[in-house]
Amino acid sequence: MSRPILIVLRVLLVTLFLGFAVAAVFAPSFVLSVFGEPVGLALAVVLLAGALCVELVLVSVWMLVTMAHDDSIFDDRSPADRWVNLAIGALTAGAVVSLIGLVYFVAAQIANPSSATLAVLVIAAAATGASAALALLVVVMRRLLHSAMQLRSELAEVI
Amino acid sequence: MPIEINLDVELAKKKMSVTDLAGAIGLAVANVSILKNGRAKAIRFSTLDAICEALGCQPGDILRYVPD
Repeated sequence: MSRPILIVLRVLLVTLFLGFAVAAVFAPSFVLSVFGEPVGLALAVVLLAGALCVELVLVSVWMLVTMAHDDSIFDDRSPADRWVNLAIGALTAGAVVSLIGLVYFVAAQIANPSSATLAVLVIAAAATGASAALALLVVVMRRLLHSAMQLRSELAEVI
Repeated sequence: MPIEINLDVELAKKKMSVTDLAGAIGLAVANVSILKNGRAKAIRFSTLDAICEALGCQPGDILRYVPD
């Protein structure tokens, strides 16, 4: 991986990390004031949990990018697996949290229809689908990582 | 392993040490030792080329099939 790409990627990762941290601090009070008690509170909880999941994914991406840059990611003893598993776990948790939120917002919409709740509901559905799809994609990529590690270690024994 | 490498015989014929051969073919001494001691799992054709050139021999002179 070339140096400029690494630097740009790291700057982006740090920016995203800080952005989500700031959003997690300020979003709850904002959505509470906009949506009012029941729906706003649920949305605040979902946003906080979701932001935490995103932060975990960003940390794992940072670690994996570092390993890829050092060319140590495919080594037999590389701890890449740990970080990939963390990313899968965080994405799955994000999908579950958004799904719980989605169910709650659907119930709220049925009980008390409003266009604001409908908008939140659609966004929650999109977040659920996106995080579930990403989690499955990373599972596929973990398989590729394992094959690459095996091939690398086999090739290392050829003299 | 039914395929054996007998580098030591050819090295003795040419009066070369493992270090000499490693230097001649641009390989680490440790890897040449692995080859010589029969602990290698696989060998590249390019390595075989270089060894045959350095020792002036045929692949058959250093590779031997020994049925189990």
